[in-house]
Amino acid sequence: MTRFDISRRHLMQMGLGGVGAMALGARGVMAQETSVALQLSWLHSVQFAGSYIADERGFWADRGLSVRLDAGGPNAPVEPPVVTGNALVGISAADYTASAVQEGAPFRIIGVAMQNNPFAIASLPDNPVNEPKDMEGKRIGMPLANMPVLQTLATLNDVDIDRIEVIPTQYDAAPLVAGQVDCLLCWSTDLPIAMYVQGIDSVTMLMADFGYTLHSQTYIATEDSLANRRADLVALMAGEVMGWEEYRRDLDAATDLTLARFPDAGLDRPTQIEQARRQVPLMFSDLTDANGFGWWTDDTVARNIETLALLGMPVDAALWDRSILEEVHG
Amino acid sequence: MTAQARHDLARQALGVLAVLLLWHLAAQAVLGSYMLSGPVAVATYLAEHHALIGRALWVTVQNAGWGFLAGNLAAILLVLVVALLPRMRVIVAAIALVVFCLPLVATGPVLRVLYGPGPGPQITLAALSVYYTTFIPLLVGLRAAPASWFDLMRLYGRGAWTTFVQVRLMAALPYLMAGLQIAAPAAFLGAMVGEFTGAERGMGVLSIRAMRALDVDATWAIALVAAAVSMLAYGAVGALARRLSHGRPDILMATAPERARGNAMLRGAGLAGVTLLVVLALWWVAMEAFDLSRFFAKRPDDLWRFLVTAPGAEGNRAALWAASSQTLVQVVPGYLAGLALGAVLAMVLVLVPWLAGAVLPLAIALRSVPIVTTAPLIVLALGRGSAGTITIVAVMTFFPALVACIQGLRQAPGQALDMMRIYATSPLMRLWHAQIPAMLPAFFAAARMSVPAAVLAVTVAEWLATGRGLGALMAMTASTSNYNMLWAAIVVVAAGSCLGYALVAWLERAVFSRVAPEQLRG
Amino acid sequence: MAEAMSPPGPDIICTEVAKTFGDAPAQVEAVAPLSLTFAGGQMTALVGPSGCGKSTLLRMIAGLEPPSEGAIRMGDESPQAMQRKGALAMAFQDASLLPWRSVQGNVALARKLARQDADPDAVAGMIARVGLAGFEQARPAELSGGMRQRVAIARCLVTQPRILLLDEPFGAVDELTRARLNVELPPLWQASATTCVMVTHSVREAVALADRVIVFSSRPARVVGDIAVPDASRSDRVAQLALVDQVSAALSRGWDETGPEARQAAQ
Repeated sequence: MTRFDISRRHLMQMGLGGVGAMALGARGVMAQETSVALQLSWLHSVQFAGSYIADERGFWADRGLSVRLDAGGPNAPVEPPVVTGNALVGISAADYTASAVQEGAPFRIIGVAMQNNPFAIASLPDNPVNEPKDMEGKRIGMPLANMPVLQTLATLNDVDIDRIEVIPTQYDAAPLVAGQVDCLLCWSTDLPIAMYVQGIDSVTMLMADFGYTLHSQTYIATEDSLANRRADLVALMAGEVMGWEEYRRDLDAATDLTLARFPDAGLDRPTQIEQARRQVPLMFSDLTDANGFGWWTDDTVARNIETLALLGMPVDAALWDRSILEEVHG
Repeated sequence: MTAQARHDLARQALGVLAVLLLWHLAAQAVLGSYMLSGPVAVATYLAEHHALIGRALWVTVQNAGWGFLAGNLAAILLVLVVALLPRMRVIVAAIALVVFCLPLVATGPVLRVLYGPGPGPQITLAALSVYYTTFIPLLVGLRAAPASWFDLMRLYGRGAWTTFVQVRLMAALPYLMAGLQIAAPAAFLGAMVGEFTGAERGMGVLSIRAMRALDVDATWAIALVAAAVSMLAYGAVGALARRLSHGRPDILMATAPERARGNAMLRGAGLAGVTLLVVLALWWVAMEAFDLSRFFAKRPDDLWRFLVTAPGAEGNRAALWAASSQTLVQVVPGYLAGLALGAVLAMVLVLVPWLAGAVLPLAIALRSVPIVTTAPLIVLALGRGSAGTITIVAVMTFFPALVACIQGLRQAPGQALDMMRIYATSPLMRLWHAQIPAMLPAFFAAARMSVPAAVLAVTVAEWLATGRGLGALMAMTASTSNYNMLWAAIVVVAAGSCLGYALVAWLERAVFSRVAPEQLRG
Repeated sequence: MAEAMSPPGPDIICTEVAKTFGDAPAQVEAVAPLSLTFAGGQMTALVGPSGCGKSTLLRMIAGLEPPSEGAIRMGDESPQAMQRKGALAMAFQDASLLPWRSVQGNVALARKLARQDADPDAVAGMIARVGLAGFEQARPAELSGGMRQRVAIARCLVTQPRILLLDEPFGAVDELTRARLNVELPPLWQASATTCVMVTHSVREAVALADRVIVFSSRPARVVGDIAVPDASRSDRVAQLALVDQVSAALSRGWDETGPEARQAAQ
């Protein structure tokens, strides 16, 4: 806890603005500091705690970088700000990125925060979905736009999709709890946690365990940035890597930092700490232990390409560009 | 305090108590279903989190306030243009309608990309949600003066400017106030939707968080605070209006359609054509002027390729058509049901006057409840099928229709009613022969203005709750980067709303030319 | 005051003036071609059946409606030129006061519109002369119908117009008030030798106030009577009654001369 207890410094920067900047300038950092933005994919929460740590502990400032963290939201696009250059890097997902590339965006994936996709099927214990076959004969709640995801899961596991009744819902656990559906297509790191915190037991079937392999929370940048702004990209990713490694070392501190940094976001500690815990196995694995945070191999990329092909998004391995990470970890 | 006022106050207090009791009982009945939170739980939540809610409210209120200011200023400027260049009236009004019909779901992300981080999109969306409901009454208000006042100005050889300053401006004041009153809650709604595009704080942010966290108490507390603030804003502007104005406008949103010269159909088609051309030009020029990336800022020619010439165009059209028809089958019944219920309840209330005193303030208040907070709650209560969505649309249409119809029914000339009383006609006969005809202008005004509101309601419901139709299609482009589809959906929604509006206006004209030709005299 | 010395107002000369409303199939001829001269400094009254077009003629003289044919001159000037000089004034059937202005504000507005200096004394003086001293700050809504008409007349006269047009100015007030206004107000404009044209329904009012009464047929308006009112008749009740008979006879003649269709249309 004490290790990250530097949110006071952050508050000072926020409150005193110019004074804080001058103090930094006196340290000689201000002179070469480059301002960039990182477009997050959702509202501020522990989902991006590694970035907050990087900011608070000066992992970026030490490299002459000042990173603005732009919040996302239910109606906030990630890809356009990156295309237009408003954000140097965006946090996307392999399928979102593939779609954007199909639509003509010049993106490369330069890092993978979540090795495993958090997509899951959540259900209640008295009517559980433990494996994809269990979905047959059940009502599933999800936005219709996610049909390709369900179809892919069905194809991968030989499930008869016609035997699943799709009830269009938005992203909300209430229909499941209220009995309007039998299961939900959601992320393992949000709706199941909401139910857990409310004291509702639920069963979570991670789709990644059943062949649905997709990198998630991927860092994307444009080809132009990769060619012309390598130093900034390396500095940004280096700070991210350090931040997330610190995160893994002390989840409590990361959670506290998040809560202290965003007092107006309506975050509560039980939900945030649980989410912090549950995203660890998605982000860290033997692969990252061996090679470092954000890493991938040709093998994982190949499996991603397979899943993407099933989703109707043919891509080739060139979408992934490891050169920045190699410089960071090298 | 007079005895009557004491009596009214007591009745209102009783009403509030009854509502609280019903609410409590309902919450008890569905306890554990995560649908409804009772008054005690909501109060407890608010007591524990008052600082958080207070800060969020302050942020949203500020953004709504700036948007309110900007939007109404824009409306006044537009009206100024129209007042000084009367020939531009029809085309300016048409373009203003098109812009008002742009779906918030889609304009939000575009604005976010334009502005970057900060309150820009919140303020702009708030402004966009208010300018039209000020523009239209103001437009009517500027002409709402006896002909002799205008003659007086011309008698001294004075032109449009003097007439504007001396007559129109003051004559329009009550209408401006009526518009501002409706604008106040609309600005709050716009600011909340704006927060969905990537804000760090505010009531919109908190409501998303609460919904995702299955925090029913928080969801209801936020919805109720948002509703209360919207009602307060409505009431405050109303009080200000009563203080400033020298009179109330006869009919809220009164209509003054042009007297058709020549073939009305031909004129309509011509206007639509010119509007289309101007809108296309504005669209293209704006995007080129801001040098927006073609990746997300599609131009008309991109859409043409996407829908007509590209290899997959047929599939694209089919997807768009499927979503549009899903939306259509929900918005039309909801809209009609809302209008009909509003009109019928208004008539019932006129037949039972003591009830009207209790219901009207409640209806006026409920009209200002923000749809983004109610839509998910209604769907939660009524289910994921069509019923929920249709109900949301009906609710959005019902309250404006009810308020307008009650005000319209009161327009019946007192002498005509007295004349009927002399013959001891039944209240039903009086309703049929005097009050309903008097209600029609207000009813049609509400029907027209409810078209964009109904479309807003259905797209918001689809986006936030049911996940189907055009609303969901637009919202999901964020994940698929299918911005061609997003823009195509924007075009469909805007064009559909305008078409609906025109259809109602046509119907209005047809009815009046039959029953009340004098209403058509501009 | 100055008006006693000012020259009489100009003649109003209407040459072949006609007015039609609407387009070809549904065209309505409101005024058939008319040639009339209203003498400068005189009061002329126009009487005729409802809807005969006399008000339209008055509005054309005021420059509020362009004639479909013919021309109207005031001395050497067009009505529009007179408007710009602030030399025209008109009183309408209803007082047409701006409800958000006080009595004083409404009267002062006319001077402002006519591009004359503010002159609060002239405004106050005129309000006093129409008998409303003490009501300067009242709003129109607080006044009776007769008082509002007094304000409207004060508004007309405060600019010292050369041409004064009255469109049934007392039509909306009760008979007793009307009689009082008929006695109290005319001296205000008679003194200034303004050229006056008044439209009225009341034959008695026309004879009592005007120097000349022109009687119109029902629509389209044609002149069916043009009766001079000698000054001597003003103090002679018998002469007045004779004149009233004469005008009334002309009115019913105008009525009879038109066909049943026109009569129907006029109703």
